[in-house]
Amino acid sequence: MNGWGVGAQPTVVRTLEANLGRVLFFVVLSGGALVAAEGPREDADVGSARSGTAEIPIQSEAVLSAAEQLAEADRIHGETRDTVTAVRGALARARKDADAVLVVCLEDKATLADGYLRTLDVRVPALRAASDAGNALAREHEFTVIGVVGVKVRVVRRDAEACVGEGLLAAGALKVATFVAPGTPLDDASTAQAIPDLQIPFVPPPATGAM
Amino acid sequence: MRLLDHCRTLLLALAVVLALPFSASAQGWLDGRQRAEGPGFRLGDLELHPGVGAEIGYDTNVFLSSDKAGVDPRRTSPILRLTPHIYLSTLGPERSDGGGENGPMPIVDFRTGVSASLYHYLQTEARSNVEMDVDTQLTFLPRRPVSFTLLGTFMRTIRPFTESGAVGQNYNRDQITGGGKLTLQTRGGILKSNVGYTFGADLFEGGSFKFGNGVSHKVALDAAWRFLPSTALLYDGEVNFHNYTSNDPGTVLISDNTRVRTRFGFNGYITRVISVLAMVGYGAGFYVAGDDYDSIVGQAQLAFAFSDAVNFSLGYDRDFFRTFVGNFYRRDRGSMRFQLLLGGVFLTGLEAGVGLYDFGQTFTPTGGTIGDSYDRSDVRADGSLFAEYRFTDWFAVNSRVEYMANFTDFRFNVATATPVFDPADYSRWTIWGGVRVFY
Repeated sequence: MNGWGVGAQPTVVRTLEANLGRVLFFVVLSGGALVAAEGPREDADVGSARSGTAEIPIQSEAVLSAAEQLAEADRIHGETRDTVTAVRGALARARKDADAVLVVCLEDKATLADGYLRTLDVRVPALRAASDAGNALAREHEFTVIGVVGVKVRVVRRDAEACVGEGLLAAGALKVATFVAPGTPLDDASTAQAIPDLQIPFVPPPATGAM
Repeated sequence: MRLLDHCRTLLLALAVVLALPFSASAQGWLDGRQRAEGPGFRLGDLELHPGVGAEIGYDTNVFLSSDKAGVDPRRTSPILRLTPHIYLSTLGPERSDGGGENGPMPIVDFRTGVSASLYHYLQTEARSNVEMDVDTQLTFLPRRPVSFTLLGTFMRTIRPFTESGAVGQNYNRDQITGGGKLTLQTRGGILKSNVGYTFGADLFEGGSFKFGNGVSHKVALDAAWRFLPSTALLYDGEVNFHNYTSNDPGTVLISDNTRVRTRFGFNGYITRVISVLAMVGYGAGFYVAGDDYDSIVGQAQLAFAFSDAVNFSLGYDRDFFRTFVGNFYRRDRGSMRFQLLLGGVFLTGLEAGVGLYDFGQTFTPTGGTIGDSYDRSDVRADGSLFAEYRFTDWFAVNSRVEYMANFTDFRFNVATATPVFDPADYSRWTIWGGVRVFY
């Protein structure tokens, strides 16, 4: 709340706060090994992955136990399902609105997200099987693949959000709520009232003549 | 069904406007429509506000004469003034269901008004005559992201604006504007922009002043970012093409022109009491003959709204205008305004301003001089003190004292066999008192 009594809490702010917490948690889990070098911003790993010089956050065996790896894999799997649902939903709305530009922008994101989900549909059960079998080498391999896919899913989601212009996983469309404190002056400030010309013009008297 | 109702309202409003007589009008105490309106009559989805005022006044210098050279001595006169008005509009926020910005948004917002001032001079040759003011505004889809507004005004003035040239000189002047503007805004009006076109006609009825007749075409663009409820960053710009249409060359050189003006600025409250307006930009005028103009233009105002009943403001503005002496003048003017409302029944206000007016060089159409110099610079002062007491919500008594003076060394030539210079300076007091009934 500022001095003029305006308070606005856009959804984007809440989303950023939530993501920040998630990233910090991730950094702590990974011992800050690779991600911390870029600072606690989700943008950092996204940008790196996109440019092809990825600094993929890979959890070491020493950090995560088998149970923790399974939990993290399930979380990535769920997040990917949500992303596919959100991108597909946005694509359907764009088609319904006949928004050709948005459709083109979202189509390849939806295809990529579908592909990553199918990969996880195979890899997560494989991780669980390796864990059940006590095959640590296979479990580590599957978890590394799942981690890479998780990063790529986040890149796809971010790109799709750039197409739409708002957070796909937000509760709804971006809505900014403002309220005005009592006593705040409410004059219309959107126009500067022009000062008019003189009511009495400067006009030569009719008797004026040349010399 | 609701759309039909709106259409019916619109047709009724248009019919009433077309039926109104275009022969009577306003000056005087009709400074602000909000003040002129009383409780009003409700006519379905419309509200009607009629009223009439009767005043007696005294003018100390009817023809704005200098009286220094004895060329055109001052003439004083008592004046009677009768001022009827009628305003019609779609329901305002006070009467519409749900009222205010949060109420249902109408399809059409409509306002029109006609006012007249009938002047009768008791002692001078300035004849009895009628001033008139008509304005109409029709907005389609108001307060929506895209809306469109049609605007029209007609103003007839009859009071002398310069010295008398002959007995019975006709000072009647008609100014007509018409146009439209497209408004684009985000929901809630945080970002807002208008682009519009206005046609204007400036017509003098008297033969001595017909050389000033002309038409104009103005294209204007403005934009605002209202980053706080009552505070915004602003831009406005306009291009104005003016053409003089008379074949009469007149006594002074005035020429067709194109004027451009653009400004950026800030407007709004910086505390709950203090508001600031600051606009700065550049203006240029390009004239077919005579001087061109280009310089900084700007506007600044510091206003204090201590409560709904008391407000005070100080202002400064710098701008340039089309004129009939030297193509243009540049105005640098400081002003103040104070208004006080006591008990909801007694209103008083004081306004004053003083400005420096620098003109472009003045020539006759043949290149001669119309005065004792090609250059002219004036200081003009103006002020008014107003008071009104409302006995009821439909009856009031009021009075006003006005002062206006023009200080300059410039003197006009007077076309006589023996050269005479007629000073262009003058001063005038006007005092009014009367009653008004309004509803």
